[in-house]
Amino acid sequence: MTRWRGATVSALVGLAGLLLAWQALVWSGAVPERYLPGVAAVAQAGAALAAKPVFWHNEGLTLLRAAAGLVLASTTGVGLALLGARWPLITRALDPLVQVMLALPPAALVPLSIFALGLGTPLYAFIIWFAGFFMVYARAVNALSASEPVQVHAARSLGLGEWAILRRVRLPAAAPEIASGIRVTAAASLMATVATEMLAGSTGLGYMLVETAFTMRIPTLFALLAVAAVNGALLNWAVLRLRARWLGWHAQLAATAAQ
Amino acid sequence: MSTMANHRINWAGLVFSLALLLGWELLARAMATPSLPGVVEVALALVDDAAVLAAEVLVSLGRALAGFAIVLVTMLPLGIFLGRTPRIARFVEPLIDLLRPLPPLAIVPLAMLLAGTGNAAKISVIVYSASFPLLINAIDATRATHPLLIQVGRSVGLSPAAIMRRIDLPAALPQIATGIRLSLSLSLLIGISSEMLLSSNGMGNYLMRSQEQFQIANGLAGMVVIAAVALLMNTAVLRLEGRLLAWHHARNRLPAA
Repeated sequence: MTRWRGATVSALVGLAGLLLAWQALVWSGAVPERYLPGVAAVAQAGAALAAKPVFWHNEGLTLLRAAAGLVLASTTGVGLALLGARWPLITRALDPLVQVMLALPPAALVPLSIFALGLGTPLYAFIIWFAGFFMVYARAVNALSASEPVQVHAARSLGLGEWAILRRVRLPAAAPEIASGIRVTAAASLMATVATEMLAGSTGLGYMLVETAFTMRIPTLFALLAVAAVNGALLNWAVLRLRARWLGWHAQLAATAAQ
Repeated sequence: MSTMANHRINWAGLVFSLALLLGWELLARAMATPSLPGVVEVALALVDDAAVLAAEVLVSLGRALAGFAIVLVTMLPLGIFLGRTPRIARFVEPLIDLLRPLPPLAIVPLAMLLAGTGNAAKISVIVYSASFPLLINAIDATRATHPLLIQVGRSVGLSPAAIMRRIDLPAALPQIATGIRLSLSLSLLIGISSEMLLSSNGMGNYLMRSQEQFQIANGLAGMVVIAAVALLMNTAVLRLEGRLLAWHHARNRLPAA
C-alpha cells in the first residue's frame, strides 16, 4: 500500500515537473505562444471541448470502433490459432501469408480499401480488424505451440480427446501470453482507428485532430492529444481488468509459486 | 514463427500461398472489373513502375533510417542511464507511461503545424513513435543486470561511466536488440503512414496517388514492395543480431545440451 502511494507521488511529481517545464518554455518566449500555448490555455480549450456534445459523440465513436475492432481481431485470431493447434497443417499453410501481412502498415490498406468498402463502418471494421488480427494470431500460435509435452501426454493417458486437451490443458497454459498479446494489440487497434479517421473519416477523434490542425486551433489540438493519450490508457486498463477477471487464477498461482 | 526457424521448405505454406494467388487471379478474370486487378496485372504494374517504386522506396527508407538513427543515439544511452539510476527513473517512467498510449499518428497534425509537411515533420513523428520500444527495453534490460556484476566492476575500480559501457551494455544487449528490432520496423511503418498524411513523396504518397488516379494495380504493387522491404529489413536485423549476439545464444544453449 505504501509502495503504491510512493509510486503515485513520484508520478505526480514527474507530471508536475513536465507541466512546469512546459510552462517555463512558454514564459521564456523561446517558442512563439501561437505554436506552444500555455498549460492554462490548453486546459481552457479542453473545458470548451468537454462542453460540446459533438466532441463526446466523436470520442465515443473512436473508443467504440477501437474496442469493437479489438474484440473482433482477438476472437478471430485466437479462434484460428486454436484450429491451427488442433490441425498443425493450417498453421504451416498460413505462415507465409501471416508474415507478409504483419509487415504491412494498416494505414497503407486504407486508400485501396475505400474502393471496395466505401467510407463507412465496413472500412473501419476491416482496417481495425486487420491491424489486430495477425498480431493476436501470431502470438496465440506461439503460445499454443509452447504446450508442455508432459501435460499433454498426461491428459492423453487420462483419456482426454484432442479437443478436450486443447480446451482444458493447452489453452489455459497459453492464456497468459495470449492476454499480453491482446494488450499490445489494443494500442495497435486504437492507432488504426485514429489513422483511418484521419485518412478517410468525417467523424471520430482522428478527424477532429486533422480538422483542428487545419484551422490552426493549437490549444484545442493539444487538448485532443491529451484525450487520445487517455483513450490509450483507458483501453489498456480495460484489457487489464478483463485479464484479471478471466486469468485471476494465473496471477494467484504465480504469487503462490513465488512465495 | 516456428516454421521460419528451420530451413526445410514449408510445402504447405508454399502450396497454400500459390493457391491463394491463383484463386485471386481467377476471381479477377471472372469479375473483369477495373477495381479488382489480377496477379498478372499487379506484376506488370510492378515491372512497369519499377523505377518510380525504387526511387520512392529509397526516400521512405532514408527517412525511416534517419529517424531510427536519432532514436538509437538518444534513447539507448538514456535508457541505460535510467535503468541504472532508479532515483531519477521513478519520476521519468510515469511520464513515459503517460505519453506511450498516445497513438503515434495522432501527433501528425501537431508535427504539421510546427514543422510543415517536409522531412522534419515526418522524421519527428518517426522519432516520437520509435523511441518507446527502445527506451522501455533498454530501461528494463539494464535494471535486470545482475547486481553482482556491478559490484565486481566497482571493486576492480571501474568508474560509473565505465560500468555502464562495459557491464550494463553487454549484459543488457540481448533485450536491447529486441527493442532495436521493434524500433526499426516501427520507423518504416510509421514513416510510410505519415507520408500518407503529409503527402509529398515516398511510398505512402505513392499509395495515395494510386488511389487518387484509380490505379489500383499500382497501389497493390506498392503494397507488395512495402511488405518485401519490411520483411527484408527484419530478416537482415535478425541475421545481424544472430551474428553479434552469438556468444549469448551459445551460452543459453549450453545448459540444455
